[in-house]
Amino acid sequence: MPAETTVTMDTSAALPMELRAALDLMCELLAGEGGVLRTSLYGNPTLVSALATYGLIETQRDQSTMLGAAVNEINLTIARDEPRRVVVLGAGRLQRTLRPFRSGVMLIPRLPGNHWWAHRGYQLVRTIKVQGIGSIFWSGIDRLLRRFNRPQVADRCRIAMLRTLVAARSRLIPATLLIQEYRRVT
Amino acid sequence: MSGPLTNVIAGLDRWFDAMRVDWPTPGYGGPVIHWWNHSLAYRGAGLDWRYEGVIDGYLTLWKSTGEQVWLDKAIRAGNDLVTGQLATGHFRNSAFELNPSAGGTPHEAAADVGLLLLARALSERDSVAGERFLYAARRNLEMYWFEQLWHRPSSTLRDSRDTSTFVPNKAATFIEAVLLLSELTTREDLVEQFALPTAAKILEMQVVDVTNPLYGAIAQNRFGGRLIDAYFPHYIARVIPPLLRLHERTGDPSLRAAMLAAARFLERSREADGGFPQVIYGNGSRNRYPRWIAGSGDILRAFIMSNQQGAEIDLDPSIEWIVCGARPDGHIATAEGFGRVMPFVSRRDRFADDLGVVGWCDKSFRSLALLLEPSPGNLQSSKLTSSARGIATIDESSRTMRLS
Repeated sequence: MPAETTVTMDTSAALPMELRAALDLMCELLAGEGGVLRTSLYGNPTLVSALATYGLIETQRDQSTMLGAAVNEINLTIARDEPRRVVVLGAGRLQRTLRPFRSGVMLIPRLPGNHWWAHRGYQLVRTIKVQGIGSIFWSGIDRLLRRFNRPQVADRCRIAMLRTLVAARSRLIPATLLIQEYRRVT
Repeated sequence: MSGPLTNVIAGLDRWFDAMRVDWPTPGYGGPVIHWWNHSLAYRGAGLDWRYEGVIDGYLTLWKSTGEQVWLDKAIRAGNDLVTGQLATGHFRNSAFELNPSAGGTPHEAAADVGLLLLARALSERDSVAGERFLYAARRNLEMYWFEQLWHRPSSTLRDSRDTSTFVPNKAATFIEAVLLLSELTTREDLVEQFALPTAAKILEMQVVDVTNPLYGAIAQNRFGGRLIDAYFPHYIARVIPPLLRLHERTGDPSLRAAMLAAARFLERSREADGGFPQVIYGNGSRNRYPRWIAGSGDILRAFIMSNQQGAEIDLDPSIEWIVCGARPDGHIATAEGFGRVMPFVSRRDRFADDLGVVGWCDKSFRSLALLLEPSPGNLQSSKLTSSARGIATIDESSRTMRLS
């Protein structure tokens, strides 16, 4: 595997690739005119500080973004701020499955279900899945081919793995990370 | 051969100005496209290897034409790096395709090269003017490269603090920075301590069997003792100029011979249209997708410098390959073939081919600037910044560019 840019700092680039991809997507989702992120950020301090490096943050109480936040933190935040729009990043079903193979990787909490949100007056408007089975399939093939000394094909599989980090939209397909956007309806 | 080379340089200068941003610090921004990763979400300035080519290119134009505007632009770029330097010595957002992040390799060493070239150019006019640029580069080299990445027991430049990976092209950029720092601070011990052991480790990774079709190629990297049997023309090209400079400094003929062999390998790898495969593997198979266009300025520069050492490599196909990539807004296309890296999967990546990336265009900019014949008024800023009407011809005998 060729080494391209390497970073040794504790910044977004040092995060696992699926979390970094999720932050890229969060940035795209939140960025307004001029790339300004108009939101209030809460949750895991590493993820919050990493997202804050993507663009100017203009704090807005009625738009909350919670990155790897526990359910009680989400609950407290929406009870206090009553945000109009909430964007959350949490673990998907695959995180638990992959946990034994990923020692030392940052684990983030799972998100509450739609009923939990509906009970608090919020409706799901968007779900983006990161690192689904397609990406994991390519990752497995990449490792297998490297073991059998076929780097020329393995390199392509690695690129396919990176290009399929945003998973298919189907509800049934599991993913490692979920980005969900909710809007207040009551 | 004639072509609109002046237009290409003019276009790049115009486009670089258009890519200026103010956040988080002043600098050159825009998207980044790379083989593995792209950085498309981050919108701020990137203080990475783009500064090596931007500063060097503007300094070359300044020396060729004597026009102050080019020096001013080089100084502005140097100021970006000084302003964006962190207390740790790192440059803010120096990780190119992994931005936003700091501590990127080889990017911070490449930024140091830009700063040191600027400090050297300014010191020739005024002993004080370049000191802040020298100070910034020295801080980065001492606090990061010498203190953290240099593994003293094995005298090896590691790619990160925690791993024993050695990457020749990154190490070569480090050598270039060390040579410039040594020259500006008159510290010859830096060459002994850092540059020579690093060069020896790079040469260990070169194919030396003359019967091997890969003769002269330099392997991409090494994890501990395990050599990665892949040869990237672009990265091999980045090794050549620093080691030729080290040869000039030390007079060691083995460095010259090794680098000319590397240049000859690149010449053999060049395809009919002037492009290069992305990677050639140890078994001889080629991965052609994507083929760099703007970034192949580094290969052109390696050829130019090898020719100065007597290699006599034909530059025309490489120049033509770059010039054909120029787009109406002034940028040079990044690559050809992103959509074909992986059938079906990478179709959506086709957009990446045409996107302009400052950190690739700087490589074409500084190599094309080298082809300009030194002469006042040869490339006037007024011509460049207005309509860039000048048409350049390439002098066959001296391999220089003239305006007509």
